[in-house]
Parts: sequence; structure tokens; C-alpha cells
Amino acid sequence: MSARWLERSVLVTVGTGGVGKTTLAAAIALEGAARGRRTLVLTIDPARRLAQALGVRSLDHEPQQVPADRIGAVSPRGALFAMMLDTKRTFDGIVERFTPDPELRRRIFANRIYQQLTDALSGSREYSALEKLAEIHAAGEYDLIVLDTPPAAHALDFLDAPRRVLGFLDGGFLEILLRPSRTGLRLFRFGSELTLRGLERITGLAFLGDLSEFFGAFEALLGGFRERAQLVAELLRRPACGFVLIAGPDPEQVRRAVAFSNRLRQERVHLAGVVVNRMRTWPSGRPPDTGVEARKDAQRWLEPALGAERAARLVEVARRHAGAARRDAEHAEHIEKSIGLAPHEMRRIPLLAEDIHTPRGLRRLRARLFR
Amino acid sequence: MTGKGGTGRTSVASALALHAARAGERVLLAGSASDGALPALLELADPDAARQQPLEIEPGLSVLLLSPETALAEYLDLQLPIAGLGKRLLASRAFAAFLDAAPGWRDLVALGKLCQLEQERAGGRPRFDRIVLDAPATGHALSLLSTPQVVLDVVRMGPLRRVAEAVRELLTDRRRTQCILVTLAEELPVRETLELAAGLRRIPVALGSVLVNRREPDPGLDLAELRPALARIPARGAPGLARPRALGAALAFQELRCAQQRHWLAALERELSPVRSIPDLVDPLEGRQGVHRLADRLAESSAEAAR
Repeated sequence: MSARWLERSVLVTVGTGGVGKTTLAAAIALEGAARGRRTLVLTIDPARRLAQALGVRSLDHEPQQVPADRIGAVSPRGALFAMMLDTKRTFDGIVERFTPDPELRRRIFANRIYQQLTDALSGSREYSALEKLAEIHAAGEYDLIVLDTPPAAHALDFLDAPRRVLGFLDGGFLEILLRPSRTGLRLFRFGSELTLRGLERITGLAFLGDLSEFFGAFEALLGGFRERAQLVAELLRRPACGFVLIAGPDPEQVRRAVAFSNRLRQERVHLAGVVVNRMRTWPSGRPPDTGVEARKDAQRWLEPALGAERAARLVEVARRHAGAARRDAEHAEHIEKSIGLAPHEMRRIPLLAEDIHTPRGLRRLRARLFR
Repeated sequence: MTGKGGTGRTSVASALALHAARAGERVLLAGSASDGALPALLELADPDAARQQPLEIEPGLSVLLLSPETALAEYLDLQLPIAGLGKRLLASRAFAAFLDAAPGWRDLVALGKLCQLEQERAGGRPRFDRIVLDAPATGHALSLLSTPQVVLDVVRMGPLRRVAEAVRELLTDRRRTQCILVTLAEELPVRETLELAAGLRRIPVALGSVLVNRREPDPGLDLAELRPALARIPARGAPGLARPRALGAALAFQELRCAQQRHWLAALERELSPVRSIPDLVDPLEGRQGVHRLADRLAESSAEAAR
């Protein structure tokens, strides 16, 4: 059963936007706590009412403890803490930790490049999430960390984040800027000279000056960044860390899910399971045929009791519902086959008409996930 | 066109573009080359052909898959006087690493390319009457649209600044650029839409309209009223689509969904305007045919609206 997921020490929910990742991360974490693990859920983009549903004052950068009655704990050791990732703070925190000199810190925080970089560094949200994960994991306070990830067109952005930041740090570009010389910008190496000339032409000298200043100040942190990025990359690949891919049942989601799982395999990262969420379901067994003849049959059956008009409308409702249920089932099967999952590794969650962001909604979600 | 992930903006963008082309406009539908959604939906036989330049796929409708690498290569060739310097720069690992992490360069050159196409003329008139950009989802879209300002804040002079200025002018002129938000009549998409609208006002980029996708039709039946009649329907031997308990459950579900959608639609309409609904299609929206069907629906609704 998918409860095997909970044996790991880190679970990362990944998937594109709009599939219910954050809510599922919360549900998984609740179950972890119910089964006696001291659990932390780190959310990225939570719905306002998720905090209410969990019974915490708010989801912010300090972990808040979820009341025991929301968990329905089986064992007294189980506890759940919930928080939200704040990208800016994470980066600022790193600067503070590695830069004891207050003047240097001030220069970094005031630098325009730093400000823009932390707001817009490609992968910065993803990278911060990973940084935070590494930090929390190292502190060893929790048995289970459930990490939500930022909604991304490419669920893969998440995995690429450390590499991109490392690539930036090690790209040789920084060496060029940091090498001391009269103006700080010129180097007497053939290849680099041209590179710099090209860059200057495009961006203007002043910008490169700013960049040089930034990295000069930032140099102290680079070693720390590199080390941690490598640590994080390694942590993600341990068997104790599992990825849970969340997908929706429509064709576009299927395409992305399959592509993503292939990539995960290539990266030698463990796919703990797949959740196909928000599936339409037929209330009893397999969805029936919705072809013209089937509709006529149904109409005939219903007319005596309902009259022609109401029978026709009801058949239409049934047709839409059954059609959607059948398609969603086909798409879920396609995901299952293409990814090659064992039954315990995949869960199908129906689209619940009721509001999911209530204690009851979350309980129902857990029941579906871990039944 | 942007909106929360999963709301169907690529389908809606494609259908809108097709609808405009059918009305006689010369339309360019632009999307990202790195996200495979647009080529998959349009069933492009040769997606690479659509990366280099606009590729006509239907009468009046061209597609371009924006690739920052391609756009950058073009831009560098233009900017750098030494032949081949652009290529050398691109081949440099240092430069590649810089681009990879630096804020907004990719977005800026992609927008720069669009800017260029918007100004292109053919035969004495604009090459395209309308450019529909299938932009990334909410957060990324906002940072994409904010990129010119980011660059202007950081780059004090030079050719790159000029590109940023031209793009900023394009995006902030409401006669030239509007943003259409695609959403669903559900809690999270609506909340995100309202935040997105506020984000657009801050840049500022003009809001064109809000399109509420996948609106479920009102069943036109009242379950409470119907229950006595449903109880009279024989269950044994009933054809699949006529089993009374399943029907009751399906109708209950539909009613609840419709009520929720009406609630969230009202929440949208209180704050933003205009808000238009796009009905959920019964049969699957897949491939080019699906886009045509959605465009048909859009044509029907605008005809209705006009009446």
C-alpha cells in the first residue's frame, strides 16, 4: 500500500500547476504524523484556507504545530508541523550565515544585482526549497519531511535548480570577474578577452562593473553554496528520499507525467509513487457506454417515470459524467502502463465535489490515499 | 494569455488565435519552444520548423515557438560587429553559465523577438494583425512581463537597455498589448486570477478580459424535485446510463459543481470585467480538431453576445 511511502524520511511532491500538489503534500504529512512520525510539511504556494483546515494560525516561515485532533494520531509520538517557504528569507539567511562582516553584508543586500538575482534567479524558488530541505534535514529534528515544490511548467525545473546554480558558480565566468587587475574587467587570455568584449558591447561597462562588485562581495559565500548544492543533489538521490508525482487525468498532464518519470529515472532519483488526482468517477462500477444507441435505450427506460423532457436532460447529465469518467480512467491507465508502476505505487483520487480545504476534506483525501 | 496552471490556457489561446484567423486577421500564435504543450496540441509535424520563424499552419494562422537561444543568436549577430563573434560567445561555457542563471535574459530576448515581429511590415501594412502569446502560468508570466523593468533597473546603458525600453513600451501601451486571463470557476484559480490582475496593474499591463474555462452546464433539473420520480424507475435490468442510483449521484455531483462554479464566477465578476465563460466540451478536446471545435464554440458565443 502507499503507506510504504511513509517509511522514507523525505518525500517530495512534484508536478505541474493546478494538480493539487500542496493539498496532497499536507494530506501525506497528516498521515505520516498519524502513524507516529514526527513530521514537517514545507509548503510553497498554499491555499489560504489550508492553514485553517490544518488548524494552524497561518502558514509562514516558522513551523506551526498542527493540533492533535486534526491528525487523529494512532501513536503518541506522531506530531505534525507545517510551514511555508519564503524564498527571499532563505537567500538572506544564507548570506547572513556565511558573511559575518556586517559591512560586507550591507553591501551585498544593497547591491542591485543581488536584489534582482534573489527575486529572479532561474531556479531560485526551487533552489531555496532545496536549501531549506537540506538545512532542516541536517538538523535532524523530524522523522519525515514532506516537501511541496513550486508549480512549474517543467516539474524538472526542481531537479535542475542545483545544477544551474552550480553551473553559474563554476562557469568560469566568475573567475573572469574576480581575477584582480587594473579595472577588474580585463583579462589577457584570448578566449575570455573576446567573451568580455562581446558582453561589454551588449550590456555596457557599468553593468559588468556592478556584477564584478557583487561577486567580489559574494565570493565568501561561494564555497558554502557549492558545498550545499552538492549535498542537496546527493540527498535527493538517496533511497530514503522519494518523489511523489502528482498528475491530473487530462491528456496534457499524462504527457508531462510520463516525460517527468523518464527524467527521474535518468537522474537516478527514486519515484515513490504517482497520484492521479481529480478524476471523474462513475458512481457504480465501470462507466457505461454513452453511444447514440445507449442514450436511446436510457431515454426509453426513463421516460415513463420522468417524461420525455426530463428524461432527455438526465441522460445528458449521465452522458457527460460517464464520458468524463471513462476518459479519465483511460488516461490514468496510460500513465500507469507508461511509467510501469506496481499497484501500491499509484493512487487514483476522485474529484471531490465538496471543499477539500476543510478538516473533513483532508480526512477524505487521506482515506483515499492510504486506504 | 496567462492563468493558473491546468486551466487550459494553451487550448484557449490556440482557439482564440484560430477564431481570429477565420475572421480574416493575420494571426501569429507564439508559445515557448521548451514547453511541448503547443506543438502537441496543434500536432505540428515538424516543430523545429516553427522555431526558426513563423510557420503558417492554417489560412491566416502562423505559429512560432520562441526559443531564447535562437532569438539570442539573432540578436548577437545584429549587435556584434565582428562576424562570428556571436557564435563564439554562445559557444563559450562561461557565457552559457551566465545566461543560465542570470535574471531575465531569456525572457528579454524572447520578448524582444516578439517586439520585432509586432513592428514588422509586409506589403505596406503590419505583417500580423494580432499576436497571441501563450505565456507561462501565473508566477512565471508576471516575472516575464516584469523583465524589461528588471533589466532597466540593472543595466544603465547600451543596446540591451534599448531592447528593454522597446519591450517595455510595447507591453505597457494598452492600445498595443492586453493580457487575457484564463481561469476556472474554482477557488484557487479565482484567487490566483485576482492576484494576477493586481500584479498586472503594478507593471502595468492592461487587462483585456477574463475567460472562465470549462463551465459546466446547468443540468436544468432539480434533484430534490426529481427524487420521487427517480424512486419509481425500475433498477433491475436498467441500461447502464439509466441506473437510478447512479443517475441520482451524477446529478447531485453536477448540481454541487454548478453551485460552486456560480459562487466563484460571482466572486470574479465582483472584481474584474469583462468576464466571459467558455463551456466545457462534452467530448475530449484533443489535437487540432479539438482546437477547431473550441474555436467553433467561441464563434457561437460571440455571435450570441452580439445578439
